[in-house]
Amino acid sequence: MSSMVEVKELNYSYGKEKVLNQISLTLETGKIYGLWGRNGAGKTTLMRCISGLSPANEIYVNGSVPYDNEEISPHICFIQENHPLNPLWSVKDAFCIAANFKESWNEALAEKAAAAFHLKLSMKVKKMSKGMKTALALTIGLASRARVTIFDEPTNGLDAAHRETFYDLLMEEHEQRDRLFLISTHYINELHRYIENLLVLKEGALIQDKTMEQFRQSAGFIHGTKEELNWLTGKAYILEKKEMGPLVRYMIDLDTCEDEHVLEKVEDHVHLQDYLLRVTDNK
Amino acid sequence: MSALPGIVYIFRKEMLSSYISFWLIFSAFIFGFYALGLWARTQTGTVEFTTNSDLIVMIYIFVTGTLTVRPVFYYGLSFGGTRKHIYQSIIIIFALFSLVTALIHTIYYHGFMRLFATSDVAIQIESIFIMGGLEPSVIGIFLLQCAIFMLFISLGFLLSLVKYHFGSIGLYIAAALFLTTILVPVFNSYWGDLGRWISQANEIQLTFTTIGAILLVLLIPLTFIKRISSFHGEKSG
Repeated sequence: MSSMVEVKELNYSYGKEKVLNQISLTLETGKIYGLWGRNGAGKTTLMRCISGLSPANEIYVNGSVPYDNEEISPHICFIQENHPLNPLWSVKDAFCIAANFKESWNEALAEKAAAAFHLKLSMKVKKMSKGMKTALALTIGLASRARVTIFDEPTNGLDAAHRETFYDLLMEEHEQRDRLFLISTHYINELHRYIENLLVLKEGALIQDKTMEQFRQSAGFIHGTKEELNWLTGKAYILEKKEMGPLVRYMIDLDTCEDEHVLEKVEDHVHLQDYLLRVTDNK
Repeated sequence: MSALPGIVYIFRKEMLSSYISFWLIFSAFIFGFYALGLWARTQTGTVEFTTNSDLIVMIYIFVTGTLTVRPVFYYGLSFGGTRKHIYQSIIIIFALFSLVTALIHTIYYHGFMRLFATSDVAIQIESIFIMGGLEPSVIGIFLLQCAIFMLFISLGFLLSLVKYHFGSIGLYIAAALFLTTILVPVFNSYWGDLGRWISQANEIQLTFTTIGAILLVLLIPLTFIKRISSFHGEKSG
């Protein structure tokens, strides 16, 4: 694995509003990364910067700043949420245009993905539902065969069958090609099966950058009565406390806990979404 | 990788139907009055109709320039085109577009004039290129038209680009600067001199002067094209 994307202390603002704060990260080729954050956390801005759509000199893709870079642009594909598609275009038109901008465009894959999403090549964008437009945009992203492919909320508007189709095509590409995928989502419970690493943004800062296995080990529950669990105070960082009559359930942050006794008492692990919600709470 | 074929495709998809519609409406307009003139003759009356086809095409081509900015930058950037490539592509497209439009207009103009000359219908299509005592060749008029159309489409593009990048305030400033040159006595005499010069110049002088104006109009966006964004009001740092 080699690093394809490097971000070094990236700050970004819209006018006076700072949206990205001291972001540093490295993304390796051949991996699928997830990007999670609450609304307004800076996910889309970060993806725009990496894709070269927004100016940022602190980002390097294959060693070069991607913004307006004619060498790098043909190898990056950023599929935005509600990706711009002219209503006058047909599916075939969109493919022709994408093929002119993406050096590794694969027409056979485009046609295969379009068929899997039940998109006819002659169909006009203006006649499409939101889900069909999303499917077309995803088809473009997959068929671009870009070395760095970025999807912003790719499954928004897709029904369950088409979401499955997308993930199948994604995994097929991932297995056959040395591509880097970065996928943002709010539905982490669905995406977590397909990604190897997850980046978590909170208010413009990167607060977590770990493998999925590390995330699974990041938090756990300890159950008991309030009296039984008095000893926990001060020994572990409690992410969440839920009381059910005399019983209490603590969600413990295992990343910061080194107390053997606490670790022994952890009974089961936490759903990723619950954990992410707690670590991004403003408490 | 050049963005030219992709930008040409985007431009063609955006403009082709309006381009065909324009020429159809233009033809229907002229033929409509011709038919009216023929009918009037059978009723022992007359219909006199005079139009200026150059001006109609210039207005259309100016509007086309203003309508080009959004699709080519919005879609072009989203699909991974660079600003430099998109801009270079636009210049090539405008040059070809002006050439084709001038060719079609020349054929229309001479075709209609020949048609009207063979009948007694009082329809006259005037050309600003033949006014002022000039008697240039068809090729001379054609080249001058190419240059003038290119200037108008570039002007439309520039104004639209200023609005796209700077917002309405950019347009207001541009309009204020233009009005200043008309209203302030120090400057407005230059417009009068320019008008007098145009009325006395031959088609070669006019063509080369127009080419100079095109270069000036196309150079202005180079000062801010690098910062054009699909998303406004943001900065890095």
